[in-house]
Amino acid sequence: MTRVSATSPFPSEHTRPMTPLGAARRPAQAVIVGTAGDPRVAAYQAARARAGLAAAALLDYRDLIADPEGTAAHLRAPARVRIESPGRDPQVLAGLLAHGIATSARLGLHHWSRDQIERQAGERGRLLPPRQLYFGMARVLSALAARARDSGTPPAIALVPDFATILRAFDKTACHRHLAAAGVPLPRTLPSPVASFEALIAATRAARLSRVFVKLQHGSAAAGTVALATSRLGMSAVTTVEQVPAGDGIRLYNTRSLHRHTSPAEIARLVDALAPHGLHVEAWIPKANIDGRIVDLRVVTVAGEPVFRVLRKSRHPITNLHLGGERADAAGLLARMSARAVAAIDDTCRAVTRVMPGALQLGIDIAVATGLARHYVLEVNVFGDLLKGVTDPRGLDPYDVQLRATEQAA
Amino acid sequence: MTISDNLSTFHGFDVVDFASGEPPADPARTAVRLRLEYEGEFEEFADLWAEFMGSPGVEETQALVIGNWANVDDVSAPSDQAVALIVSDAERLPKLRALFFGDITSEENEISWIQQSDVSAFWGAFPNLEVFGVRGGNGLQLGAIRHARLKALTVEAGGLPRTVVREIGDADLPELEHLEIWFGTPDYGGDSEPDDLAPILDGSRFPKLVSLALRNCEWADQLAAAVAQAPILDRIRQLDLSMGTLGDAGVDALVASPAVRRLQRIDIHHHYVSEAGVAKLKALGISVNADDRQEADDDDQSFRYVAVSE
Repeated sequence: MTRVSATSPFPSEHTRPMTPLGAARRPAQAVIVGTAGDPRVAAYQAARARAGLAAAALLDYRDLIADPEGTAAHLRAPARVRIESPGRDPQVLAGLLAHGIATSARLGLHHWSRDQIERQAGERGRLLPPRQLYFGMARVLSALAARARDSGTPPAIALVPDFATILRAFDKTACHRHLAAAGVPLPRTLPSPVASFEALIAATRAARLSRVFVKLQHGSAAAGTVALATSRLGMSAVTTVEQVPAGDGIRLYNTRSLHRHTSPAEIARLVDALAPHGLHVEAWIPKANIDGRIVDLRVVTVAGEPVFRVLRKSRHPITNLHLGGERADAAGLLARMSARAVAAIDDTCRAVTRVMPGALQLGIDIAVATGLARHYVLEVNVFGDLLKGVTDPRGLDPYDVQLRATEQAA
Repeated sequence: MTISDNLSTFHGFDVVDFASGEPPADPARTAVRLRLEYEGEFEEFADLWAEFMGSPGVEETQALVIGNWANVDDVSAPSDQAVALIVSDAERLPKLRALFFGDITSEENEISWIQQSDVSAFWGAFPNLEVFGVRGGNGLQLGAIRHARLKALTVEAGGLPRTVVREIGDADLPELEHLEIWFGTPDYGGDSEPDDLAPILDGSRFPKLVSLALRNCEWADQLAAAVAQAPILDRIRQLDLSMGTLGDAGVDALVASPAVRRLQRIDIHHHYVSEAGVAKLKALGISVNADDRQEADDDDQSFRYVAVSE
């Protein structure tokens, strides 16, 4: 397929003059960028059906990966393009990794070669280089962003979330910096980069932070997370990462069970294996607990307002849903807090949406500290609205609510 | 095991975190908790304690919970300074009936890193104390335990030194109704053995004991066997062997004991007993809590999952 440059004419748009009025007469096409068969796409299309809307046209990640510009060129204006998570399909992830090679190499950053991707990316549970995935996503989405930019002023093709917001949400360090500038309560972070275990320990001492969460800067779903505690009496690291020695070094896997290390040598090996992927390290906020479980909150906002609140409970410090944390009604936590403390969480969520306006919905992870008075934003997800079985008081799921918000804005 | 819960109730009171400048919680209905928090108002326990002792109505305090006394800089700071501060103000807390010292969760500190100290000054300082609880076995000394009124004593640890178990065995507590000991694991200093419990089990102590809880024990089967034949069983009404490694061997020992049948209640939650074993226990006709059966290989299963972009 020939590569279409940004300035070449698109026949589909030049059948008649593109006046603003002309453009408004044609209804905006609903498009979803996603992977065929992914539950998120299915859930969204189901919500459209419930609302009496035709299914959105699917722009498949597989096509976008095979030919970013060519696929983007097929977008007809006007269009409202919902960008979904690429999901878990190994082929799609491998394709994104491949697109991430160029930027990684140019910046001299650790990454997998094409050969490594082909041989290893399909391995079940393998921790894929998250920064490389991020660069790959940026590469393919940039084609859509360029297409949107070229669709007029104001653009007749809207990407939701927009390109900049997706990238920001996938870079924990950049997101933290952005939110901090807006006064959102956040855990303290260690200065980047943290390149090794030795550097990590030195930084924790300098910052007087003996308990930290070591995260992958471009990671998600708690992959590669280490809850690390240090003291005069020793060290303790709790992690989802499993390390397996292989011919080419240590291979990392995401697991559902937690591994606990107390030997400094083991912890050093773990951190040194994660560091090349880029780390984001923040203070370990002691979280509130209910009935012997550690809890945190996932709040999903739609059009700037908190709508869904889900409590995540776990026996251990990493509360991610994939790890056997239960999902529970947030009412149990909120009822124990003062009205002021609860309102403060909602205000924080609104503040986050105000400084990240390029998304219709945001999944905001919040730690309520022991004492139940203070809270901190742990993470902002742009693809965090797949909450099975969660509905608002009207019986609407997150997709239903987003569709209604979209109709109201049109 | 980890402790994820801060106390939400203590001695029948709701536990409320102390917030300086806020109207004081009703001392007739709430227990106050003092602790250093992440980015909290106070960095030193001494400052927090001074603020609390200066707050209106502090002399009415009936129930007090002391949480994390160490700040993030040095999580293993020992508790002796906190003990000294509390004891020095004992006369200004004449109504104190219940004290829990060390309400610290796994989110705040590793339980094995909690550095306790000699807390024996509490016995003399608070003659009206009825309930005392302490968490953290490292460096813990209860001393010569003599108290005319104490009704409940709870000692929680990830690894309780045998010295502490022996101190409890030597205790003079004529009014004690509830005794609770968490043994923990040898990895964290839990080095007691069944013999250390002899003075507690032989009935020579604690004439008013009604409830005995020997929990979090790695040698729970041996413990159950020792308890099953112990004279103390004739006195108590409730036995708790929960949170340990109790298996069918331990249950068989209990079921074989005539005295066990005369208990009102037995609690073995978090156990490794088979369904058949639990059935045997329930067949005794007493109230049994056998919730939370553990699978032996729980910790060894590792399910690999695929990363999902959120």
